[in-house]
Amino acid sequence: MSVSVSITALIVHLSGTRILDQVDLIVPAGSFVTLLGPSGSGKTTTLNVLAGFAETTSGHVMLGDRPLDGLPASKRDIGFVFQNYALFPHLTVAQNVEFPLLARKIPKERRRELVAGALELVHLPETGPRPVRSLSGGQQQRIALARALVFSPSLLLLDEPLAALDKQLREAMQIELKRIQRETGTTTIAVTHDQAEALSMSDLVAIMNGGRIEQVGSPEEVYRRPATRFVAEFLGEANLLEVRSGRVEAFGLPVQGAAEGTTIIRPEDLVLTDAATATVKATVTGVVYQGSRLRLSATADGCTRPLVVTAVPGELPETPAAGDQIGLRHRGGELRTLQAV
Amino acid sequence: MDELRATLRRTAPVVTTAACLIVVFLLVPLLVILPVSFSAGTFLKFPPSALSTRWFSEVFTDPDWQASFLQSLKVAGVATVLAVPAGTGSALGLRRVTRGRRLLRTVLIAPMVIPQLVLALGLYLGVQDLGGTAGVKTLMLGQAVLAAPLVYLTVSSGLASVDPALSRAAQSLGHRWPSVLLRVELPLVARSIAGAAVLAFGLCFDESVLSYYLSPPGQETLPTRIWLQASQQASPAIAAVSSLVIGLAIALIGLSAILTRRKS
Repeated sequence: MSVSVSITALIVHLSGTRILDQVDLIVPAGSFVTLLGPSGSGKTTTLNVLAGFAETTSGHVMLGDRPLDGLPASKRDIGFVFQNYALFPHLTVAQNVEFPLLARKIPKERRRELVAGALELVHLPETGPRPVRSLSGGQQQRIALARALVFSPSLLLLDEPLAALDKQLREAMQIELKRIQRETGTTTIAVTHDQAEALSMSDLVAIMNGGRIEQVGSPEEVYRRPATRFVAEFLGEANLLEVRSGRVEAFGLPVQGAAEGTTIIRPEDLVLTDAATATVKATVTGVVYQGSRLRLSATADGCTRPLVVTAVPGELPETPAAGDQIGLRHRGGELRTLQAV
Repeated sequence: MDELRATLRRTAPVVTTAACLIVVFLLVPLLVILPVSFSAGTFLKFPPSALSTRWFSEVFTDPDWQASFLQSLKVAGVATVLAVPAGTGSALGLRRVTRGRRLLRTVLIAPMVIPQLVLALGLYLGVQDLGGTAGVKTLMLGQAVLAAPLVYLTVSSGLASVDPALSRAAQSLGHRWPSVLLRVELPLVARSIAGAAVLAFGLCFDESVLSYYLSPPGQETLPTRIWLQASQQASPAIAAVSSLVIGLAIALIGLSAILTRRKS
């Protein structure tokens, strides 16, 4: 059974400092939500409040129709996967997974079935009798997940779940996490500082900064239509352009929202063209070959800041070099003035 | 950094020599006691003129030495049983304290640094003020007070290598604190606790100041009897007992070191 989570006006102080400043968040039942933000933005504190590890100053947390305020961690029915997994080193893999079931007075026979099922879910059915230490990092991660899910919790919390894995394993585990989450249908909240990880795993991304949530939306929404400058810059590369009298500088295109301010154009939305179709002329200042793409930096006539443009290497008639004159145009789509914070 | 390394290289021989001298200074009494305990003569004399094991046989068969040995075992055993939960509890409890941890730590270690004479006198007068008579039970309590900081320090250092997230993990998995303690925290420091118990026992078994002050006549512990015997007669039996006590201490320290060894 999936359960929704709602956080209302949450404020948390830690030794005199305000760590969370009016956090509101609704997590729909069965969804995978990622809290994304730089370190110190309050994402881990939010997770700790949900798990019952941190005290709140004010605000409310509801799990379905059950208020969690003041409830000890042991009574919350929430699975938590720690950043370093926190597997019990004195127990075997099976004993680790069985651990939450012991607190729930489940008969031995049923416990064995549940443990086997959980190990099956994470594709490590044979590891039961092994000591935890003998497992690789990726395997330990899966066991931590099995342990957090074996008691069918109402909510699964993941603290930087992939941070300790190497890059290749991380990408495989992203897919695995998503599969396991979909199979069990457990409402999941993950914390990460890696924007690629957040975009690829989540149904919804909540971007946090300075103890507040700046924007909540689908990965595409937050990437394509960032609400604030912080969100725009935190999620990948962004060209920030001035908006004057409802039009963007240099390109002259109309912009939705406030008539004065800043808007964003992603590097992949700028197209290199010949002089005839170009709206803006620019001078290349640097070229970086990145395999699947070419990253150009350029200064454009009428632009306050230098621009970043990406192109697929094979699609260009010739590779530009520093000093070359190029033409640029916007690929199309709506432009919107960013909210001033 | 380089300067430091150069200084270290220059001073290394001096430090090594000093360390060797200190070790020799500490070991000389042992080198004297051991041969004397194998003496064939009837006086404490170094070097002994002839060797035998007669004083060991004498000590093992003498009912008075046996009684004081058993008394030491009993007192040290009870003191250890009292000190281990106290020290372990302090170590586990202090981990959860965030404010005033340093002050509490200092208070807990205080019995190690206050003079044992003061502790002995305080216990003696305190028990009398409460209407009791200072005796073997007071001695057991006093030795437990001395040993508790040692247990606290040993268990704390074992706990330092235990991830605090493990306790939180156990809680989030549905276990309340008695269960977290029994299933996670205690098993993880079991070896440290065992090592601490051995050290505490060794400390109490050899303890002489409190014993001397608080042992009632006829119920002396081994160190007290050694002291009394040495002041009355200079028999090599004392050397034999001392050698045995030293051997036991070395064995206990070794056992404790094996128990508290960090597993890689």
